Amino acid sequence: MAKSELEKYFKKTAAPKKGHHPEVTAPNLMLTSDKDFGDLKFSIGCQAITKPFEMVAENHTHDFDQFLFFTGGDGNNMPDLGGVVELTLSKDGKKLEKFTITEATCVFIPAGLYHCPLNFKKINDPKKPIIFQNLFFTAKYERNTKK
Amino acid sequence: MAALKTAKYVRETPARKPNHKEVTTMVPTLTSDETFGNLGFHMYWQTIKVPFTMAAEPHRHDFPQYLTFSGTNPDDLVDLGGIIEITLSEDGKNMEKHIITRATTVYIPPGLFHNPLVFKKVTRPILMMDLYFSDKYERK
Repeated sequence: MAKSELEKYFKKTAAPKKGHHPEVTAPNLMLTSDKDFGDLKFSIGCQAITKPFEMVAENHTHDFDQFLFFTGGDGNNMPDLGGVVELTLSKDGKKLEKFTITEATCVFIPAGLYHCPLNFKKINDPKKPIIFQNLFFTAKYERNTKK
Repeated sequence: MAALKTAKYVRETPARKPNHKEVTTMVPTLTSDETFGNLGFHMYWQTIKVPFTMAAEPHRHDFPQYLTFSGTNPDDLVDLGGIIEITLSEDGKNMEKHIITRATTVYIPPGLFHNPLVFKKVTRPILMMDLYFSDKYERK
């Protein structure tokens, strides 16, 4: 990349450290809009899910808004999820509602909405992984677990 | 999807037709409007499979925008699988061309001139994500 003052607007997307899940073997991508990069106080993480596993077991809430995106990894047909995902939501943390996702889907998780377990139940083809993106609007990611 | 009380939070991703003939697959989109968070942003994803100039004309917006480019190698999303050129300029006169060869995000603040955006080489589909914070997309 050429030397330029405008290089401040570019950021290599590879996450600086490994993710929390050994089942995710490919390097994660991460965008953080901090004071050096727009200061819009959001982050997006991107992961390729190549095998079934339960990513998050514990039902929890946040104090910030969050969007989860599940799309297919087949570049010729991204709306085709290429697997099955289960996600549980709950308004009160007691009445748990499990959703089964089989097509490319967005989930809006407003501040205070209980969510998880998040379970990648089936991956049809490891060469066409589910692309999972996590967009959250906070400077620091913190969970509120049930007491 | 079963009729559950929290069903309003789960939305099968709408997909639209691509704006460029070189992009041949449907484009998943997300709009955070008053029915879905009301955070005033749009996102869409598209895969680029052939070299072409996506946007030739330098322009700017009144809103911030992020363009992310990543690969589709399931073992290494950082591996871009091609070469991209994008031109930025603070004044619309001194045009600075940047060459992207690894997964990269470009932050385009309000008022920053950008483009041409050229996919110079594509050896594996490149995943492009466009995120902009505006109710309506308008160029200047």
